Amino acid sequence: MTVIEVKNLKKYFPIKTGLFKQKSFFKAVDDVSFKINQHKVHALVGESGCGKTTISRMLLRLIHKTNGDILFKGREIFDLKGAELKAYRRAVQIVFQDPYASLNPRMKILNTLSEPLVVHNISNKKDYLDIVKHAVNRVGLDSDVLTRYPHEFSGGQRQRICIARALMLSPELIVADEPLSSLDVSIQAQILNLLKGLMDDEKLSLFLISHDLNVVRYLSDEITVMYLGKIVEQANTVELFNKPLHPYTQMLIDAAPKISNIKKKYIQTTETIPSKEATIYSCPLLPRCSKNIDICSKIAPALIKYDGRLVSCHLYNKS
Amino acid sequence: MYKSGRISLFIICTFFILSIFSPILHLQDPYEIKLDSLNMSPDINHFFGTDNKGRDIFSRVIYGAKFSIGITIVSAVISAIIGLSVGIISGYFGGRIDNVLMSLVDFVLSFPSLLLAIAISIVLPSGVYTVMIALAAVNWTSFARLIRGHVMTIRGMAFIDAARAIGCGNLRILIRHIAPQCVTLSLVMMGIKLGGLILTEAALSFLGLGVQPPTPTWGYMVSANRAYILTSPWMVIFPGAAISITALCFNIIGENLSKKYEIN
Repeated sequence: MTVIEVKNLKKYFPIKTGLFKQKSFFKAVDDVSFKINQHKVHALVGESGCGKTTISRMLLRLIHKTNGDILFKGREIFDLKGAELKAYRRAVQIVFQDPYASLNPRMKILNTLSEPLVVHNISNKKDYLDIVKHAVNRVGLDSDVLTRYPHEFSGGQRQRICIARALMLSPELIVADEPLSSLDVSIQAQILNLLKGLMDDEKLSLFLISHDLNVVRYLSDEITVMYLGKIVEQANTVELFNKPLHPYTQMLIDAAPKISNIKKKYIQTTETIPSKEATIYSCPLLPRCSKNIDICSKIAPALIKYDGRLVSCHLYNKS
Repeated sequence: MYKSGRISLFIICTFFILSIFSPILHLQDPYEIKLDSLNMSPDINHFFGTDNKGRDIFSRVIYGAKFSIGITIVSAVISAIIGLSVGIISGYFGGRIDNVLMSLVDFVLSFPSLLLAIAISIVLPSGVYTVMIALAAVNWTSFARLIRGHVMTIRGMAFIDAARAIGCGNLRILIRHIAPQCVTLSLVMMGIKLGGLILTEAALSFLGLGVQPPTPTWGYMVSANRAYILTSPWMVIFPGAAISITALCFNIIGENLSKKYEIN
């Protein structure tokens, strides 16, 4: 069953220009479609600035979309109102990238964690303490953390608290926006195991946003690779890692550091990301791609089905 | 480091408490006109001398402290509450609401502040509350400006997004998440404003627009006795010194607060 279906989602940010100049837009997310299935992990991968976070913010209704649909069990989420919206908020939770900024510094952990219960009027006040205690134990923290303030905790502990907060309402989907990228490597493993454990226990779905391919490989079932606001490849995890089709995916996988190839020379990706204006008529990856052919500089590739997967590259276009 | 602040706070509290308990301190009656002791210079019976109606200046200065200090603090609190509400709403919602509210602030700021306070005191019936309203009406703008800027930086932080994601409404976000972050800042601003407020209060009473005689406010005492400044300077010096010392103490407290919370 599909929890969230995203269809042709677009988000254009207007660029401020002069009084008489034509209005222009920055296409942060351009025509993106994917599905998040129940009890599965869908990962979104791409480098900084490719629109991953923008998508997560739209999924949470924190910003408006420009065009397209985000369907939650068949209903457009931007049309939800009142009780339905509340139910959606309850069903979809987020864990942010920066655990230092995502907890209110003036609120005790108990208040931060019981707030979802208060807002959604769940059970009575007497039980809050027990529910919250259970939640912090589940993410591996002692119940004496509840009387403390966020600044008394390390990054890993804070991220656990954020995960506990996301779990308070027993959601169906958790959006994890780079949950590991601001943590130490040793802590990353803990949080990763925690997420994995929760996935097995809670039967929830996870939308994992990351630029770390090792993490994605460990956790996810399906992967969408994004580049400059567009999808370049979409496949299930095993297939994608066994045989990455798109040159960009190959580049990403190749660039991920591994112990076994510590002395290996990485493929040069020093070429800066091209501006959008420069690549209207060509493949956006052109200046960084080692496999480019004639057509790449003339027509931007479309997303096509190839071998049961989706890829947007001229190399696989048979017609 | 904060010693000066503590001393200042102690001085002001002493003034205020003495003033409140003045009826049971067996001071001389601040209102009693004694024709046998006009214009007396300071001595053992009258520490600060007497004025041209024979009233004891020491007991009048002590008695007047509760008006001057009380009015200053209450009007600072009122300004902070108004400024905080306007600033939070303006900074959080932005857009058109922000434009309207900030135009209002600009409108108030475009008057010279003392002139606006005078205008309000003339229009409303004179009394303690009028002075408070006049002072608050002039001073809330700086709170609003400051808080608005602060809220605009908080608004974009992840924990506000997190609150919205768990389903908090705007009102809850404003009260539970944003307002508590602004309290320290308004406290510091209040400390900075107090010194100016007590001077404005004194100026209003000096001009005869503050609390009305025979209530002995410091500003009024300076104003009423200014004709005697050359012949009997104590009539003006002591109430004047009281104004200066409290203003200085308030300023030191304000400075200490801003140092303590590292806000400049």
